[in-house]
Amino acid sequence: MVTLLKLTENDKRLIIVLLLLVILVFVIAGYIGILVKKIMDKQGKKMDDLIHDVVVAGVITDRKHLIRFGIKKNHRQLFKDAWLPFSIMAFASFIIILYCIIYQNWNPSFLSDYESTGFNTLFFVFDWKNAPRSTFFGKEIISGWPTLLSKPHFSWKAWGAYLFFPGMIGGALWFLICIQAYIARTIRLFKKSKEVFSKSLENYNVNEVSNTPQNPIQ
Amino acid sequence: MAEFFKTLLKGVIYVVLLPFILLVWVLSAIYCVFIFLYSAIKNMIIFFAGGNPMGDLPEDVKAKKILTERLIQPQPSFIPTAAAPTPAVSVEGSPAPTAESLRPTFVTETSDEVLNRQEEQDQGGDDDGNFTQTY
Repeated sequence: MVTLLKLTENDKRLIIVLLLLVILVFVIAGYIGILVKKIMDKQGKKMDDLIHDVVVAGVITDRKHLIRFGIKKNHRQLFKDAWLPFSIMAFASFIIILYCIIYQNWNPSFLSDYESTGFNTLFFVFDWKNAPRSTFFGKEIISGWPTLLSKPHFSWKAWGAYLFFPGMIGGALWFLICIQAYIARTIRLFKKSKEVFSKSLENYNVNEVSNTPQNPIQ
Repeated sequence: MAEFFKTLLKGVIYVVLLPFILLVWVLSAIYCVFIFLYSAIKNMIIFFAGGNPMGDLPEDVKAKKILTERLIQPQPSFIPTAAAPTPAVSVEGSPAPTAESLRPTFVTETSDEVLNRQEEQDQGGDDDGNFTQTY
């Protein structure tokens, strides 16, 4: 018998560990997906609220009209949801422009300055470029902690960055949630527009109906 | 165990579809930004023209009208008519209560009539102070 590959005990352990890691990643991805789907289902319920009255009152009686109406309502809802995160981002942009005007510094590199004017004055900053490296399977990878360039500290000169970054990141994340809600409502609209006006002949038999004795009208 | 494998399979599907999901998300984000800016400009114009940018759409107005009308439409009220008094003890020769006399009747009232009746009942009589048994 020809053995193509000989695995040592260590190799087998490594393969098992890698396999378990891959399974773990997929399971975590699965749970994240399930969570996102549940959140989107909840967000999509808002569409029911938006189109309920017109359907129940019989104002809209066909699918195309319902979709057109739903899209209009969805755009309005998006505006209602997104004006606040947009305002936050606009305010953050205004702050940074004001900062640039005050300090007459239009070079955006001041935002990444870890010594006095950047947002990363609040974090540990490492010298990753000059980190110790070793060769591993022909590739150079980092093999140790790099030197620390800066410790977290508060700098008054960085007030612009302190207001700009949280505002932009917070606003952008909030806006992403609004987009997710928008997508969820759109999906719900198309799903419901099919269901609401669908006619079903399930369990309907014309012979059974004609043979059923009708109750005389009292 | 089956649940675990289901989750694992879903995870694999989500990982495979992740680039497409992200693509849809990014395209939606761009579309939403345009929609937001368009809505903002449109709403501003409507607002400065003296209108209500977040007011009801024509379909909403119609639906509200129909639903309100349905609420105040005359409801059939169940008012049992006074059945012929039947003696507690059966007396020979007295007529037995007919099915007709025992059957409750439905009287259709308009909303105004219902309101007037309720007012009279609240006041305990009519305008002249005479109490009248309506039914």
